[in-house]
Amino acid sequence: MINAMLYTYNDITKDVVESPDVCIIGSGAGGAVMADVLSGAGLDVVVLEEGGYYTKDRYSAYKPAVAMKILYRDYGATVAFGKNPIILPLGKAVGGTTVINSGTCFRTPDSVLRDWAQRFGVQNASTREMEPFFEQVEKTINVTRVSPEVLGKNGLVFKRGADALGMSNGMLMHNMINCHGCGRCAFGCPHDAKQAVHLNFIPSALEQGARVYANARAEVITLEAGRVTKIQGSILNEQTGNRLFNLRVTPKLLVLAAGAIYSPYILQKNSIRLNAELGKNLTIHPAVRVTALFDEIIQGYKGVPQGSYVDAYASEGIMLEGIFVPPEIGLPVLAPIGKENKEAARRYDHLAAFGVMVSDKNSYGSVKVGIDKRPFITYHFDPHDFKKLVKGIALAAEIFFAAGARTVNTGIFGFREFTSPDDVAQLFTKKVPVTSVEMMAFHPLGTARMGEVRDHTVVNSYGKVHGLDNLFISDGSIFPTSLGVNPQVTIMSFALRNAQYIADHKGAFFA
Amino acid sequence: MAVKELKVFDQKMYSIVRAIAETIIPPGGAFDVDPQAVDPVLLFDNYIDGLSRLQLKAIRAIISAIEYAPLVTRLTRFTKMSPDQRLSYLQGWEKSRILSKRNIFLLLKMLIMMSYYSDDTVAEAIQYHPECLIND
Repeated sequence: MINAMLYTYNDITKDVVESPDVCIIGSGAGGAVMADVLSGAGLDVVVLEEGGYYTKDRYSAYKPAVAMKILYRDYGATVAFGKNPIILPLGKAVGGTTVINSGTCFRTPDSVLRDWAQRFGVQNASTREMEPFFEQVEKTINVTRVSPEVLGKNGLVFKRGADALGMSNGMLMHNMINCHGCGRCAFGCPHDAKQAVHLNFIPSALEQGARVYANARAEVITLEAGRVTKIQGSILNEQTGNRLFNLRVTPKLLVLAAGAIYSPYILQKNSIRLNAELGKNLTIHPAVRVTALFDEIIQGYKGVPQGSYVDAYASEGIMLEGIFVPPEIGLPVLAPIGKENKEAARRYDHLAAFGVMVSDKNSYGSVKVGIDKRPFITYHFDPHDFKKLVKGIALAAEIFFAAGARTVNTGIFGFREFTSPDDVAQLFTKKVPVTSVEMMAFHPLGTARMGEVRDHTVVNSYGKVHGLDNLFISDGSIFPTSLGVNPQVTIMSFALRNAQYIADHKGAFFA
Repeated sequence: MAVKELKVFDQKMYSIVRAIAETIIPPGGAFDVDPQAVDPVLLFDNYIDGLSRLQLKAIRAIISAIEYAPLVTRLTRFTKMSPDQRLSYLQGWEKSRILSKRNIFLLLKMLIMMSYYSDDTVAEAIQYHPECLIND
């Protein structure tokens, strides 16, 4: 047993039977905060997490490829299908995606909160009303600006280019303490510098008496007379994935915090349809990577991979944020086959990379139960949003040339490497089909929208499912629209607010 | 490394993937490592052990498609081609105008290259030293 109340499959020797006040499915940004607040309010809390529990010593031992196999769902290759399949990496561990995200922190933009209030009737969630929750979250996860010592040259060259063009830019805010700039944020921080929720909210919940089961997959949710009465599942062998023991939890209240893909999926799999909006309205914040070759040595894998940003076009929904991966992850996409493969590998130290993310305003996706009984994700990329993406690629290319790049690779199929800033114009004169761009996305949201307009939302302004008395959702699925920025602070802040709402109304929920 | 350590592929499948791997990353060139010391196919095989049955079926189907599709167009199998023919054939997958064909090949390329470039000997050959900027 790692902690008195944190159990992994190694600790469990018989079927697990629990009857807590609250059961939380998922231990990521939404679930961990809920567990902390509700256990702090004197409630008996049980958390179920399908992934394993890992520590910094284990992260250090993992090469990136191994980390992707262990800490991610589907080896990091969960796919949203559409005209162009989009890779959507999701974490699977105690701490959820906060274990493998880049650590970037933004508050919810004011314009987004106002939009939610106006269009979806979200109540009591203005910037002013959210302020104390933002503050508390930022304090707990230690949000601080990336320091130049750990930024790394990848961030520095891009900043140099943006400065030369007079574009607004800066260092990103991260949840870090004593960052060493190892470039491994996406594979589990080997120094526990990144303050993922398994380092703060989860330990605090454990101290307050919460019980966390790792390797515990929730499978069946039983509803009786409009109330969740039972959760059944399995304790899984971490190595083989085989079921070891049964799991049965009969809580007074259930909080689903499995993320915007798995929360609607588990409800749909159990034929709990709620309303027509469940599983729809998926936004994913599509992104591409632009790379550039420099004469100077960059070694982009040293330093915070996502340390700086350019927000000159943020009002148009275009954000440029740092991104860099080690050669074994980056080369398969960048290096051609044949003799040039090793040549490209040799040049990896001279490569810089930056990400372009666009707020998906008109695009939409959905989550359903697939024919193989796994989540089936679809996504339609709207042409207007795609235009923004192409504009973002052009901006990144211009910035790289301004920084002194010899060549720029947009990653667009059918386009040669750009060798001068004049080449960038091709992006607007030649047709760029959506199928020619290799995309990724990192921030799935929106599949169980919150608000008081019941026909268009699944949960109310505090995350309680419409029409069910004891089911809450606490993850990115409740956000009605794309944020346009990284969502972890928003997810945690709303979880904090909604958990306090539950704690303040204990009499109603736990009579 | 001994082929008996394979967990997913049989000997035949191993041979096909080995031929694909040697076409993607040919011996010699900008740097060389002992091909006996680095076996990306074995690493690949061990890496995908743990995928679902359906996912493994899909990977085997991709490998079979690459091996047998040239029977239709070139009247031979991939493993029977010369190295130059293999390269030209796989470039047809890599640069195909059909997105799904490109993506299928990218998946295979990703698994092979990730296995190869994860090896410590190869990392040393490309002078990849992933140190932190600040040491303890």
